[in-house]
Amino acid sequence: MTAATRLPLLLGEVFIDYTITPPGTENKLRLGGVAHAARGFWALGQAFRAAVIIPSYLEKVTRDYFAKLGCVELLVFGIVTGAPNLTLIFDATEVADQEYDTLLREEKAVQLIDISMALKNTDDVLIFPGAFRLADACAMLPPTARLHVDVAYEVETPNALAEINRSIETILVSTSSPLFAKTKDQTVNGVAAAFADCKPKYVILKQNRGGTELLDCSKADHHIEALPAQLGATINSVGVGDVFAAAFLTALPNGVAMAGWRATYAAAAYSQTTYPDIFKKYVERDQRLSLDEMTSLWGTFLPWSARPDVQIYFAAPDFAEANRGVIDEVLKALLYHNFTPRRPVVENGELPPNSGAAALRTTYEKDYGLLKKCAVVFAVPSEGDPGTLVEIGLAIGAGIPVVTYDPSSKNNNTMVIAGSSFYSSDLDACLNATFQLLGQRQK
Amino acid sequence: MGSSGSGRISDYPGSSGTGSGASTGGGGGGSDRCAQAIAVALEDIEHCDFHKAGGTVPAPGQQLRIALKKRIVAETDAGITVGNLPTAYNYLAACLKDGWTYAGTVTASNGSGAIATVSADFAPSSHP
Repeated sequence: MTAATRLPLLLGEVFIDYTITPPGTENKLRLGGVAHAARGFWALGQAFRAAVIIPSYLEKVTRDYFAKLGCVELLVFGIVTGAPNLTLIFDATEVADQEYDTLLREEKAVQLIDISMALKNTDDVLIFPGAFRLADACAMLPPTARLHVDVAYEVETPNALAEINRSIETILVSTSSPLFAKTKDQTVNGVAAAFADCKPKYVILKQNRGGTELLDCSKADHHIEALPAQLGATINSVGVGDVFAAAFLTALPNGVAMAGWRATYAAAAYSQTTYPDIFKKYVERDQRLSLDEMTSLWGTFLPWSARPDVQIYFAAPDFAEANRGVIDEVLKALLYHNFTPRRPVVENGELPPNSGAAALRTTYEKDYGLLKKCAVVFAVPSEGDPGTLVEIGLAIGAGIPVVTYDPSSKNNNTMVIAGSSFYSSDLDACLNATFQLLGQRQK
Repeated sequence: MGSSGSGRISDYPGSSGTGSGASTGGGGGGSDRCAQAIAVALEDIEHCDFHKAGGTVPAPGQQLRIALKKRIVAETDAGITVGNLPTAYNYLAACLKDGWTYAGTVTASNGSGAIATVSADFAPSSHP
C-alpha cells in the first residue's frame, strides 16, 4: 500500500458560494461544497484525496484550487448538468437562517461515473451528501472503508443512510440542518437513536454558538463529550461545520476527545476569517494547546435542547403597530437559535392608548414580575422607546444581565452602555454575548 | 460590470492581502487576531489572588499583563492574578504559546460594590 492510499478521501459536490453582503461591502465568491472541508484538511497539514461531483466548467478551477490545498489526487465521480452549482448566501454570519438559494436546483441532474477501481484502497472517507444517490456512491467504495458522513444537508431521512446497508463510523449533523429539524428527540442521543441502524461509533451534534456534543458509542458506556464553542466575531460561518468534520477526522487518531476539541478550535478559526493563510495560521497556533489546556479554558456551552427553558426577557417596543423591522429581526434570530423569549407585550397584553391608572399599574407589575423571573434581558430600545429603557434600568437594579442591541446607536448613553452587560449595534455580537452569559449560568 | 470580487476565485493560499486582484471581498478577518489590542472587563475577580489577599482591586493606571494559567488571566507584574478574561479571548492562549506577550493598564475599577469590577486595556508588547 502506498502512503497516498492511507490519505482520507473527501467525497461530495463542489459549488460556487456567492455571499451577498450589505451595500458598500464587496460580495464574497469562493469555492464551496467540499472545498470548505478541503481548506480544513489543508490548514491542519493533512494531505487528502478527493472524489468530486462538479459541473464541467468548474473542473479546471477545482483541480487547480484543490492541488494548492494539498489534494494529491482529484477524481471526478459525477457531472452536474442543468445547473451551475452556484449558491447564493444572504446571511454570512448566521444570526438567523442563512437563506441559501441554489440556482436552478430543480433543473439539476447528476450523472455518476464509476471510479470504484480508483477507490479500492480507500480507508477513511468523509462524505458530504448531495444531489446524488448516496447508496450508489458508497457502492464504489471498498467494504473496508470507514465512512464519516455529514448529514446536515441533502439527507431527507435517516433511512437514506440505512439503505447504504453498511455501518457508518461517524455521523455529523447540525442544528441548522433540515434533517435535524425533523428529528423528534432533538438531543445527541435522539440523533443517535434516529441513526441506530447505521451503528455509528461517533455521533456529533453541532449546535452553532452553543457548542457541540460528541456521543462516543465505541465503548459500552456511551459517553457525551461537551465541546464548548469558541466564540468570536463571526466573519463568515459558511462551511464552518464542514471544517469541523475535516478536523475531527484528521485528529481522530489522537483520540476522540482530542479530535472533538481540535475540530471545535478549527471551526472557530474558519468562522473568523476568510483569508486562507490567516485561517491556517490560527489552526497551526491552536495545535500548540494540549487537551488539558483546551478543557480548562472551556468556552460557551449551551445545548440546543436546554435553550427553550432559558428565560430571556425581550425588552422592546414589541407592539403590533410599531416599526417592527429590527424587532422582528431579533425575534427571528432568537427563535432560530431555539430560544423562546418571554415577550411581555404578548404575554401581558398591549394596552390601548389612554388606559386608566389601574390598568397601567397592573400591566407594569405583571411585566416587572416577568422580568424578575428571567436570566437575561435582551433589550432592543428602538426609537428610544421609554418603556424599554426603564426595563433596562429595572434589570440592572435587579442584578439581571442585560444585552442591549442598538442598531442605530441612538441610545449610546452612559447609563445604557455601562449598565448593560453588553451593548452593541451588531446583532452577531449581541447573540454571542447572550450565549456567553447564559452559557456561564448553565455551567 | 465593474469589479466586485466575483470575477474569479481569488482566495488561493498565499493570496491574502495582496490587493484587489486577490480580494477576499465579502469576507474579512484579514488582520491577525493576536496582533489586536483589546479592552476587557475581567471576570471572577473575587476568586482571584489579588482580591483575596487584600479585599481590593487594582487602581486605574495599574500595569497588568496577560498570562495563561488554567484560564487566560490578567495579572500584575509580580504574577498576582487579578481576574479572568472572558472565554471569547481564549484564542490568546495560542498567541501566548506562540510567543506573543501583552501588557496593559487598568482603566476602571471598583472594589466597593456588590460585585468587584476591573476593566483593562491590553496591546501586544512583543511578538515572535
